[in-house]
Amino acid sequence: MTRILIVEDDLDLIETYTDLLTMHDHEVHSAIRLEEAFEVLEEVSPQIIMLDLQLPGARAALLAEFVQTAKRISGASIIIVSGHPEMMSSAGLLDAVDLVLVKPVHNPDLLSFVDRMIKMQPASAAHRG
Amino acid sequence: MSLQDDPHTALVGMLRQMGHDMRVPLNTILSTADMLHEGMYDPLTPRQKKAVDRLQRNSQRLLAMLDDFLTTIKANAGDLTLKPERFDPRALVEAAAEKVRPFAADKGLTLRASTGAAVPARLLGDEKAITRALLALLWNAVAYTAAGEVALLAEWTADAAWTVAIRDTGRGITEDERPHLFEPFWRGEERPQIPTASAGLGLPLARALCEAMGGRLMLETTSAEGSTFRLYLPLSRAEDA
Repeated sequence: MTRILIVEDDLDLIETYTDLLTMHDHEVHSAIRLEEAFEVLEEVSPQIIMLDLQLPGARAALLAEFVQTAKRISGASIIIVSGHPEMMSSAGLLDAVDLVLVKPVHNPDLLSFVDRMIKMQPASAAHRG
Repeated sequence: MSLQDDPHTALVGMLRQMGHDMRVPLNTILSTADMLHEGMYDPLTPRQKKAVDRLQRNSQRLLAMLDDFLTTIKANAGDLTLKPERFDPRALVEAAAEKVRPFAADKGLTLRASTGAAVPARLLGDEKAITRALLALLWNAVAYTAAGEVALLAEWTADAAWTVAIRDTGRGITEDERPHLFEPFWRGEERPQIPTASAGLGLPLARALCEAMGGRLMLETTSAEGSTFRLYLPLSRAEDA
């Protein structure tokens, strides 16, 4: 079981990802704002974070701070899931994240990337928390 | 018209065609989701029903975006067919406010609507287009206001026009943001705080509709205490027509 944090402001999309990932035995947490995501990060120490780029009140500097904090706290792999991946460069995140997926993401692709990310993580990160 | 001869006209034509063609697969998705929801194939479990609800809700959202997109293109091209009829401006303002009020209340906002005594009882105009412009402005005001209220005030001007002020207590619009306000899909860094069907198209759609009806839409005032948009439509009194 992998602990996954979804940071996304579309509630229907959160529900959809949650259904898919829990049906495949992952533990899913979610946050609709970055401020909330910082708190969940501390609480659950996720192994993978699926992060949308266009969040309410999420300016580039805050996104970068969130990614750095996530790496420091739990060593989580960061997957950007966005409809506008070109925003990555302006947010200065290009070198800081592990994977970029463009919405819509096909279910088999998402599941396979999650598995691959976990296999690539050092054992200490995968078993933390 | 080819892309080489007149790229702008050709691109607008392609976008319109694409918009219309997208309705076909969307129709299949919506109809199939409806049938699934009604249990026409097999009865659904509550969990399955919830998933189908998501399908229906998001297909409707896509359809609304498509409608806003096509209407904006048509209105800008001077190609919108308007159907002026007698309508009750007080009832229109109330109905628009009523539609958005529950979403405002969810955010803890008050939504007030009023019509001045000088506004005629009946006006002549395309009620559907006017409602759509007003709703787009209301959604926008509610979406970008974190606390306080949104107020709608309709009046009749000295030069015989119907005007509606939409005032919010949002954070205001900065100098840098102002030139982009009416650009399609421009949202700035601040994201709306409720999901809106026409995210990124509300203000351009409202302005395009107003101008297609011979009117105007402008940002009247803005400060850190809020903003006021004003819609101005030169409509005839129904009894004068």
